Amino acid sequence: MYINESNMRFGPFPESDCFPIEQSQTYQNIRQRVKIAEFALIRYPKSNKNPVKLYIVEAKASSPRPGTQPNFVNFIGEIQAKLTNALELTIATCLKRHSTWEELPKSFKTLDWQNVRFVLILVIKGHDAAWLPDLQDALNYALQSARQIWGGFAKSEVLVLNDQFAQKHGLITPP
Amino acid sequence: MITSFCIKNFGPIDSLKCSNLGQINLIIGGNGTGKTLLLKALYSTLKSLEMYQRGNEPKSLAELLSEKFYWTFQVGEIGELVKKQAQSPLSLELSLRGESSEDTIQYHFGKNTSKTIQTISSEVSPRSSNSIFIPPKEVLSIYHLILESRERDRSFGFDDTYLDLVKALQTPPSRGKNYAQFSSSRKHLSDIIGGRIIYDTQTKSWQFKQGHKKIAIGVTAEGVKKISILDTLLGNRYLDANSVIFIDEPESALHPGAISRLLEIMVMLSQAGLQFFLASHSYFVIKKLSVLAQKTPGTTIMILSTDGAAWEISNLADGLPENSIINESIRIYEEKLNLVLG
Repeated sequence: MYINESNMRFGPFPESDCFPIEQSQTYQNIRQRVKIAEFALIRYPKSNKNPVKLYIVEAKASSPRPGTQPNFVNFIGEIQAKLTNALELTIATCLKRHSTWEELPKSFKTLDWQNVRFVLILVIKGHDAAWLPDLQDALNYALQSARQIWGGFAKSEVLVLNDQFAQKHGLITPP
Repeated sequence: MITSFCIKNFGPIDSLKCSNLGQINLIIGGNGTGKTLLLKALYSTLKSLEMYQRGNEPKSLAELLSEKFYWTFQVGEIGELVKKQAQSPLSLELSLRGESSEDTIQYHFGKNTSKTIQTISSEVSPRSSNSIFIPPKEVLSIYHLILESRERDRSFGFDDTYLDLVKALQTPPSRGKNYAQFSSSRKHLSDIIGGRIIYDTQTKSWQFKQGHKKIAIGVTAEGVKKISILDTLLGNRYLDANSVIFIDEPESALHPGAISRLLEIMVMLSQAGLQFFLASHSYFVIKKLSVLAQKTPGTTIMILSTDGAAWEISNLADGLPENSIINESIRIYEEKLNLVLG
């Protein structure tokens, strides 16, 4: 399956491994009060020695234009909220706390929650690579509490990519 | 202000021409690419011009420049500065903004030059301003050692950038007010370090004054000493609004927060007329200057970047050009991506 978002085409992903949260019925039922990221994706490692990973992905069409954007703190706050909400909603749905839980893809229903690694990802189309590390550091700081709550720094990661790096790592299909 | 220069066959530098220098000029490149050499060459040239015909100075410009090269680069024969395997002489041409026009000095010398530069021409008017070179290592705690080794022993070791700085610091603080253009900057410098340095004439040593406390220079932080040096030169009027300041590795011994504040102060000082040449390896220096270039468009910040073979010159207001410092940051970032995403 593909997910088109922010002028980027995410995928292809196996349908069993990808939960398009923003389009899900579960989210539509609560959307008025909740900001959310785009989708959750389970990735299996090439080797059994490495853990299974759960990506939570938020997409932005472009870096905000100076003068029209909310300030940086608000921007990071928004992304932090969307990623943590998406993670928590995914887990809540897996715990069957929503009556719509059966819409979860197959792999989510059998995920090993004890050992899965969370990877919280922001993809910004066209973002200058020279400024990605700084943005990644800022978002990582904002997500420190969430990372601690969900098992510590060894069990999660935060990444900020542009479309070029996202494509290189198989998250995006070129147009 | 130095408006342009052209340097050829100098150490590892093949050829570099820069026609539109800014109020702040950042030089970056890998180790051994000639950044410090370039700074010292420009400084030596400017300093010689400042000494020429000052007061009762009897030496010719050629003599002053030759001596400056000898004691700054500390080579047995200054011909050793000529690029190895170069077929042509080492040459430098530098233009300064004069009162009504641009004045130029140019000189060249070959590999066989021992002590004296023979071919030199200059239309630069006598300068009353002083330029200064601030090396990475602070000089306050080795102040007397520098003076003794150079003035008493006449030994190589501490080059003229160290000696000139020590002598500049010897100038007593001015009576009355600082130059008005510098008072705000001095306040900001003092805020970064929480005090000022003073020279105790009784103990003949430098001390750091923090409120009413006096702290021996030996236990004063390296970064504090470094910033204090700039503050003192602004306070004792050694520097004026037409001075040029050369700083090798401004980031050394400074926390990234202090680097940021120092660069902001440099922009303030450049708006008062000072010109800066910086050689740096620092990610924070280049990132902060690129932000300042956009925040303060009235201050021209140029970046001169080398990969060892070629030089690229650009205006930071046009964006951050590709360079080895940012490339390394991206490389480490990509290493992390590969680790997480496989």
